[in-house]
Parts: sequence; C-alpha cells; structure tokens
Amino acid sequence: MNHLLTLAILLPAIGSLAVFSRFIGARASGVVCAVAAAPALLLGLFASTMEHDVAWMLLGATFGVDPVSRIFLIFTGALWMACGLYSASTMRSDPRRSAYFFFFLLSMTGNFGLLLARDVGAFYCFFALMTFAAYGLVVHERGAGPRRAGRVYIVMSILGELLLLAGLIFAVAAGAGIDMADFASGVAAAPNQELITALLFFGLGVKAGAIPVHVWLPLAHPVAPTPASAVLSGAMIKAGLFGWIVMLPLGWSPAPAIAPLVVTLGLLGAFGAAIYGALQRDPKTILAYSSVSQMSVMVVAIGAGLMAPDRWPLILGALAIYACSHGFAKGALFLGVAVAKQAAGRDMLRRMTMMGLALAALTIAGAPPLGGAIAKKSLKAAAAGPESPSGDALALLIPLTAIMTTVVLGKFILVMAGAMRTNEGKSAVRLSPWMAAPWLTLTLGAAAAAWLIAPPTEPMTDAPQPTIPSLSAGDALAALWPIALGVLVLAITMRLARSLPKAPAAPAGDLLSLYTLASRATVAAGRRTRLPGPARWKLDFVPLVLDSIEQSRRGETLTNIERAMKTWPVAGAVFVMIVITLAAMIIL
Amino acid sequence: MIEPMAWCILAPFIGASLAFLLPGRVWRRPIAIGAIGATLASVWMLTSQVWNSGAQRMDLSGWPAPLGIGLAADGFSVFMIVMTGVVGSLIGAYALWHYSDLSDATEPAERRLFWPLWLILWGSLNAIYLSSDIFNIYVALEVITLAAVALITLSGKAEALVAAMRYLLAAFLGSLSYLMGVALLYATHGALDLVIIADQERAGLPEVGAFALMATGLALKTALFPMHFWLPPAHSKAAAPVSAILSALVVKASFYVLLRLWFGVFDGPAMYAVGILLGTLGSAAIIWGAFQALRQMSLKLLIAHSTVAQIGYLFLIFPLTARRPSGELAAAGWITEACTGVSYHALSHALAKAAMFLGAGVVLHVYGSDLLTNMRGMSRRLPITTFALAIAGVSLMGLPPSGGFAAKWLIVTAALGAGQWWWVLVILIGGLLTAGYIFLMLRWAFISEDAPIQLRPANMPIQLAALALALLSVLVGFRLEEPFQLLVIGDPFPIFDLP
Amino acid sequence: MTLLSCGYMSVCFGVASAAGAATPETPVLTSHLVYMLTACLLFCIGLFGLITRGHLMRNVMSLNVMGGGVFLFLVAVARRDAGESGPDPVPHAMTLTGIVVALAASAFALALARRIHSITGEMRLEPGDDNS
Repeated sequence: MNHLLTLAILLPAIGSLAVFSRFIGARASGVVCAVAAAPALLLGLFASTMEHDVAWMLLGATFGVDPVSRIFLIFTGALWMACGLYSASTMRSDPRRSAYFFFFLLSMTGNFGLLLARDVGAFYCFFALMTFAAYGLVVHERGAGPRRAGRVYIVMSILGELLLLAGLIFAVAAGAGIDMADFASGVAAAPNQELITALLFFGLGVKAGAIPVHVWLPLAHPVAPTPASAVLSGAMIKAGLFGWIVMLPLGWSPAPAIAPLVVTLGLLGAFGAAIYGALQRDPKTILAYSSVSQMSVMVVAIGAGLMAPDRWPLILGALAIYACSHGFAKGALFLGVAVAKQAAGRDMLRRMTMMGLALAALTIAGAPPLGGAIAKKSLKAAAAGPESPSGDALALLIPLTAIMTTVVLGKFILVMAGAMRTNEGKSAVRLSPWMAAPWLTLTLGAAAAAWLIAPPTEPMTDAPQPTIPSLSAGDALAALWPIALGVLVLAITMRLARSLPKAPAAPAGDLLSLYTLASRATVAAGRRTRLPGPARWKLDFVPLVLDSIEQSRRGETLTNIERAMKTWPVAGAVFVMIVITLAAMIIL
Repeated sequence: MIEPMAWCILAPFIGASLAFLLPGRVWRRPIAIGAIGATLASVWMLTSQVWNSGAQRMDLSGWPAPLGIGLAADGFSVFMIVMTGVVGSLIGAYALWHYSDLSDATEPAERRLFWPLWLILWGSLNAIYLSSDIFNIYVALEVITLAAVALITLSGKAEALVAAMRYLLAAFLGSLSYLMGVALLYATHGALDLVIIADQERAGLPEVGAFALMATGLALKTALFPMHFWLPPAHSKAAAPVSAILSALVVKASFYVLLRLWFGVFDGPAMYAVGILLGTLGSAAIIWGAFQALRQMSLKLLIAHSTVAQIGYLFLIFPLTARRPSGELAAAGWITEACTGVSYHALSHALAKAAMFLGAGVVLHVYGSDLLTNMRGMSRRLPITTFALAIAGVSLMGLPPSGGFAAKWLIVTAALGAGQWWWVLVILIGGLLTAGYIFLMLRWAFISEDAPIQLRPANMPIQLAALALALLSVLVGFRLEEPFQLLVIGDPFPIFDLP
Repeated sequence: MTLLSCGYMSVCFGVASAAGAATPETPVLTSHLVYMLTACLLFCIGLFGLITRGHLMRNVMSLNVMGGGVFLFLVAVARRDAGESGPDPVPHAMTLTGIVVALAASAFALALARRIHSITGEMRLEPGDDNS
C-alpha cells in the first residue's frame, strides 16, 4: 500500500513530463492521465488508514490516508480519471495539447498530494502547486476572456496563499506543530485561535469559492477547456473544503466570534449565488455559480461545526458525502455541456443527453432516490441538534437551498435544451465514446455515490457517530416539494421574462465590479484626482494596480533619492556614519 | 597526497593561467571544460571528505598558524563552495556558447579574457570560503574585486566602464576599511587566524573600532542598503554571464566573511543593538530595492535592483542570532532555523538570480535591447526563456514549493520564535512587492506583439542553461535534509551549542 | 558634515588604537604610538579625499593615502611588538603583500580611468553616468 501512496503522487508528476514526448499523442495522453489517477482512486476505494514518512522531502513530510481523505480520494480520483480520458477526445486537434496535459497532470499531482499530505508543510506545498498549475488550465484557450479570468484568478490565488500561509505560520508559532493529526487541536489551544481560524478560513476559502473571495470562480471555471472546468469545479474546489476540515479547530473548541460570520457568509452565498447564476446565459457560467452556491451550503455546515464542536463528527460525515455527491454531479454536468454539442445531431442521442443532464441536476437538487437526497438528509440530521440554533437554521435552510438549486440548474437545463434545438442537425460529428463513457460514468456515479460510500466514523471517540442513512417515504416527500416549488418558480419567472423586454446580462464575477470600483476609488483618492468616468468602469483591477505603479514612475522623488545616494559625497558620508553608528552602538 | 581543499583553489587558478597563456580559439573550449571539470571534481572530493569525516583543517606548506596560513572547511564553507560550483559551472556552460557561437556580437578581448578572469574569480571565491586567516581573506577579497571589475569592463561600453570604476572605488574603500580592521585586530591579538582569535579574550575598545570598520566595509561590498549605490549600474551594464556571476556569487562572498567574523571573532550575538541595526538596514533594503525594481523599465536594471532587495534578507540573520541585553538568546530554540534559513536563502537566490540574468542575456541577444516594452510576444518566441524567468521568479517571490519558500519559511518561523514579528511583516511586504515586479516583467512577455520585428535567433544551450538554473532554484526546496545536515558539520555557527 | 564626520572618526580611531597600543608596563606616549596616530590620521585624510573629490586621479591617490595609513599602522605594530630577535615579521609580511595588492589595484584603476577619459573625455564618474 505504501507503494500505491508513492505512485499516487509520483505517477502524475512523471506523466506531466511524459506528455511532451512526441510518441505520445492525444489519445495516449488521455490514457496517461487515467493511469496516473488510478492509484489515488484505488487508495480511496481499498486503502485502510495508514501513514508513511518521507523524511527526505521538504522538512520531513508525512503522507497517509484516513477515513475522510478516502472519500475525497474516491471522487477526486474518479473525476481526474474521467476528465483525463475525456480530454483525449476534446484535445485531439489542439496544437498546444502538450501544454494542456502538462498543467492538467501537474494540477492532478497537487490535488492528490494535498489529499494525501499528513503534515501542513506538504499540504501547503501541494496546494500551491495545484493553484499555480491550474492557472495554465484557466488561460489555455487564449483570448481576452481567459486572459482576464487568469489575471483575476492569479491575484485572488496569491491573496489566498498569503492568508493561508499567515494562518499556518501563526499556528505553528503558537505551537500547533506541523503534524496534521495534532494541528487542529493545536489551533484550538492557541491563544489567538480566532485569528488563525479566520486566516485559514479565508485563505482556503479563495479556492473553495467562499463568499466574498469567490469572484475569480465564475470567471475562471467557464473559460477553461471543458474537462478542465469539470475538475476545477468538481475536484479542485473541494481542496479548500478538505483544508478546512483538516485544519480548522472543528470539533475541538467553539469559535464564537468567527462562526456566526462563517454561517452568514454561507447563507448569503447559498442564495445569492444561485439567484445570480440563474440570471446568466452561458451554461458553464451558470454551473460555476451553482458551484459557489453548493459550496456555500458546505460553508454553513463548517460554520455549524465551529459553533457546536460536539456535533462535528456527525456534520463531518454528512459533509464528506455531500461533497462527494456534488463532485460527481458537477463533473458530469460540465462534461455534459460538450457532449450535448456533439449529440445535437441525432434525436435519440439528444434525448439521452438531456436525461443524463437532468439526472445529474436532480442529484444536486436532492431528488429521491438519487444519492443527493441521502447527502442532504444526513446533513440536515447532523446539524439539527437539540440545542443548536445554527443547526436549526441549517435544517430549515436545506429545503430552501434545494428550491434555489432547482431554479439555477433548471435554467441550465433550459439553456442547454435551447442550444441543442438551435444546433439541431447542424452537428455532423459522431459522439465519441471517449467523451460519452466518462460522462455516463460520472452521471451514474453521482446518482449512486451517496448510497455506496459509508460516512467516516471515528471509533475512538464517544461522540455521536454518523450512520448510514436510509430514506423513508416521508423523507422522499420532504425532499420533493422544494424541487417542485423550484420548477414552479422557474416556470413563472421564465413566463414573466418572456413578456418583459430583454434585460442586459448580469456580468459574471458579480462582486468583482464592486472591488474594482473600490480599488479605483482608493487609487483615485490617493492621487487626489477625480474618479474616472463611467466609460472606463471596466472590471479589471489588476491592470489598474499595474497602471498606478506605472504612473508612479513619473514621480521623481524616489528616483532623486536613489540618484543622490549614488553621488560620492553622499555615499561616503553614509559609509562614515555607519562606521560611527556601529562603533557607538557597541560602546554605549 | 591529494588535498581537495587546496585543489579547490588551485584548479581554477591553473585553468586561469592556461586560458590566459593559450588564448586561441581552438583551446578555449577544452581549457574551460577541463578547468570546470577539475574544479568540480575537487569540490566533490572535498564535500565527501567533510561529509564523511567532519570539518577539515590544513596548514599550507606545513607551517602552522600563527605564522603560517591555515585553510579550514566546515559545513558552511562546503555549502558555499558547492553553491559556487553548481551555479558557476552552469554560468560557464552558458558562457561557452555565449562567447563562441554568438561571437559576431562580442569583441575579441571579451572572448579572450572572460575565461581567465572568471576562473581567477572562482578560485578566489573558494579561497575565501576555505581561508581561516583574516589577512588571506583580504587578499582574496581584493583579487575578487579586481577580477569582477575587469569582467564588467569587458563589454567595453562607456557606461560599463563608468559603472566598473564606481564599483572599483567602492570596493577598494570597503577592502581598505576591512584591512584597517585586520591591522587593529592584529595589534590587539597578535594573530590572524580565525580560530586563534576566537579563543582569546575579547579586547574592548580597539575591537570595537575593528568591528565597525570591518562590518561597514564588508556591508559596502555586499551592497547593503544604503550602500548599494554601486550595484545596479555595475550589475546591469555587464555582459549577461558576468552579471549572473556578480549577482549570484560575488556579493555572497563578503557576506560570508561578515558572518564568520560575527560568530567567530567578535562575539556578535552579544551585540543586540548592532544586530537590530543590521536587520533594520536589511529590511530597508528589502523594501527599497523592491520599490526601485518596480520602477525600472529595463530588464537587467530590474533584476539588479531585485538583488539589492534580496540581499536584505541575508542580514536578518544578525538580529535573529543576537542575545537580548538580559543575556538570553532572542531566538533560543530557533537558531538552527535562522542560520539554515539564511544560508538557504543565499543558495536559492544565487540559483534564481543567475537564471534571471542569463535569461535576460538571451532576451538582450534576441531583441537587441532589454527594455521591458520590447519584450512583447516573448512567451511565443522564447517559451523556454520565459518559462525560466517565471520559474526563477517563483523562487524569488518565495512561493511554495521552491528554495525561496523553504528559506523564507525558516526565517519567518525563527523570527516568530524570537518574538521579533516585525521582520515577518517586512518579509510579507517584500514578497508582495517581489510578486509585483515579477508580474510587471512577465506582463510584457505575454502581450502579443503589434508589428513583426527583425529578431536574431537564440541557440538552445544558452536557453537551457538558464532553465536548468531556474529549475534548480525550485527543486532545492524539495530536498532539505542533506543540505541541513551539511550546514551544521563542524559547528560553523557556534551558538548552536547553547540551549 | 563629511568633514565633521571624518574628524570625529579620526578621534575615535586615535583613542581606539591608543587603547590597543597602551599596555600597563609601557609609558602612555611612545614613538610607536605617535606612528599609530599618524597612521590613523593618514587613513582619515585619504578617506576625506576619496569622498569629497570627484576627479578619478585624486580618488585613486586618496585610496593610496588610506592604504599608506594602514601600512604605517602595521609597521608601528611590528615595532611595538619588537622582541630580542627584532621586530615582529608578520606585520611586515602583511605590509609587503598589501603594497603589492595596492600597486596592482592602482595600476588597474589608472588604466580604467584612462579608458574612461579616452571614451567620454571626462575624468569623473557623474557625467557619463546615466540614470538608473
């Protein structure tokens, strides 16, 4: 099993170089991806809990598998594998194919590495590797859109990395150690626990798409090539969640200051992102917003865990299943976008595709008897404690989010159906089995995952343990009414929208425009000039920062000081003064 | 009897003599490759000797100190020698192709004299790292200065000459100041050997003068802010391999001497205020250098100012190893982190900076100028070089996983352990500013060009040399165990002993 | 200000070297002490010249005056430590080596200054120096 552990990290790393070989074509690259992802999937399916020290790496790294990371490994491994095979077909005529597969496999290395890491140093390194390798995926399709998405992505990611690093450093300095097993309890015992928790939450939240640091996500996920979008939105986004689970002091001590904030942000995101997503027109952007909304539900669960440590084991079990279910389903939906394009040609295929998409969408919405219903039910049961107000809120919230999920994903289905109608008969391409098979697998996986995977239990504690839930008829009814209501809401809105004049689309990236305005205003105020006119209110704030730097070149003060320091009399005087200062400081 | 210590110094010197005596085109490559090979072999033997049997010491010609001159090698010196060997030979590989295949661009004198001067420089660097005699160190410092200045003048342009002259004057001022310190130390201790002086009692006032003069002189030669004025022009006006040598290796030599004196001669840790002052100047360098780098319009000047900033990190070792006035170590329990972190920063900066200057050399060759605005479309035309610049930038920024990250992580944990959190703030701001100028630099590379321009082709080896250095600067962050074991051999930072 | 600093530094030096030279059994002012103070003065004069003068020729000369100061100091130390077998040889060896190094350095600096003069027509650093 130790070898499997090594292979899970090493194979993708080696593969990332192998794809540059001229003997490896598109199809072979896809197979390389699938093979590289296999050890991680096998670990998830069959490995027992274990640890393995790799003393030579970094400052002595530890890798291992535990019940929680197993579940993450299963859906992450399956997604990478399916999307790798899928890429074999979509990337066939891409001239920059090698670069794509290089970044794909490098991100895969980072993703598996961080799931297997059992110490914070290794986790951070692999997390960063994944973040920066994924940049290559975001900007793969050249053009203005990906470039801008890439800029926002990299700025937000660096912000996240810095927050995360600051949190880790504070935690280590406070004595949390670098061992993952003791880290969370160490954070809980630290004097500045709330600060560390906040830093870690927002640092990892950038990746997980938590409000309000999610702004890169609706821009970046849609512009990547389709299989890359699927792993970004299905697998990599969960890396942030995984980081929260292993590093926040969940189950150890309550964080009364930060927990309400986390819950509030989660609630805001769960509803806000779904509504904003339903206003979008591009199917992949709609899916990205649905991801933000779903992740926000998980943020609420994290908040509930921060409020009530004793309920955490239950919440954790439900959360892992929820993440797994969503990972499969979101992957299937993204892959379905391109499948639908090819399937538009024939009636049979078109109907099948629509059914598949609907199945995955219903899984996320939680329609029984699909796996999503299980996940939702156990999350509801876990959070709703006898004396936990946040848990009650969560229990109330889950049916309500299901309405919103139905609305946003229903909009997605409608957009897809419309697109297929307009494309009808145009597409002469045969649906490649390399695309259809991974897509189907993920769809079925989404429907079944929550039924098949047991939630993680911790036998050593006497806390309430998650059990494998079952669905009664009452549960089924309780899960169905929000979906029915959602469909109704969507139908009414669409009807209304048809009678109204067409409104301009809401720009993807929502709050980004706000940040841009704020930074523009700050810079403008700093320069004591007027705010630029509305014509220039574009959304980019990175170029803005760069521009302001470039404009500050005109300021001569710094240059003059530097030039003055270069003249001999000044330089010599500085030299003499330092000699005297040093001497004086020792004597005094 | 083969003495690897002596051969580490002799091999490059012999190579230099041969290269000078046989300047013909035919001889250049065999001599250069032979000298690099012989030096690397000596370095390898020395490393395995120290690794297997601990710190080494030898007296030249059998004359023991105080009269004779001693050579000593402990883990820290071997670390620096290996760094010089790896970076130096890759720069040498670049120079082999830079000065032969691209010969139409370079003047005959430049081609003829590069190898003798560089090999002399290399030998003197190794001499500094191995010397246990403070006067011998002075001589080696002077030889380094002469060779480095001569290397800068090779390009023959007026601005390079002026930059070289300024560097020469500044470096001589530093050397003479150091020499006066040597004289004062000899007057009080009657000895020149580091070990002998370290064993004697501290001697009060004259030592204060000696420390002030030597520390300032060496800081001037290391280009510590605000005495960095000579560095940006000197490093940016030289030819690419020369810039790489100067920025990656030469500035580290005087810092090494300062560190040796701090621990070995002056009982530096007792001087808390001085440590804080040096750390403050280092922090000022980090911020000032990065700000200046942000304002540059030419690639090489940007990289040179970045060197000013990166040197600042090295000086954070002084406050972190100092004792508080009350007597206890400020960073008790974290000293190993502080010392290894700073040493590691020296290493990863050497690799990354050499990669950047070599990459800048490729840009200069292909585009004919190194103005940032001219680098449009570089990501398509020179993908390898762009990649090398970006990777080296990752290490400079300190993003994980890279050597720069490992170093900064260690320094930051040591600073927090010492309760000196303000350095952490400086390092974070410095990292952000670094990210700023790296992006500013790469931004132009990714903009597609407006009009087709006439470009010269770049050959593959020089691009690969830059890439190899950049990759190494990241890869050293992956495997830290052996370097750390090496660094503590022979107890080079004596306060390791203390609790 | 530079002048002031130099003066101050010269005093510091004098005190420092005097303290270093004075051992309990010797009288306070001996001949070697005079030499040492002179040496420090020379060093400071050289430093002052290097800092305040812009002409490259003068700069090189100033460096040589500074070097002369150091060498005089070393010779004075050798005389102070003179035993029955004559003065201490080590400072003499250092002085000789130092002179060789200084000679090489001065020759190189002068050659460089001449090159600069022939290209830019100036014997100064500032005019030919572009903004950086």
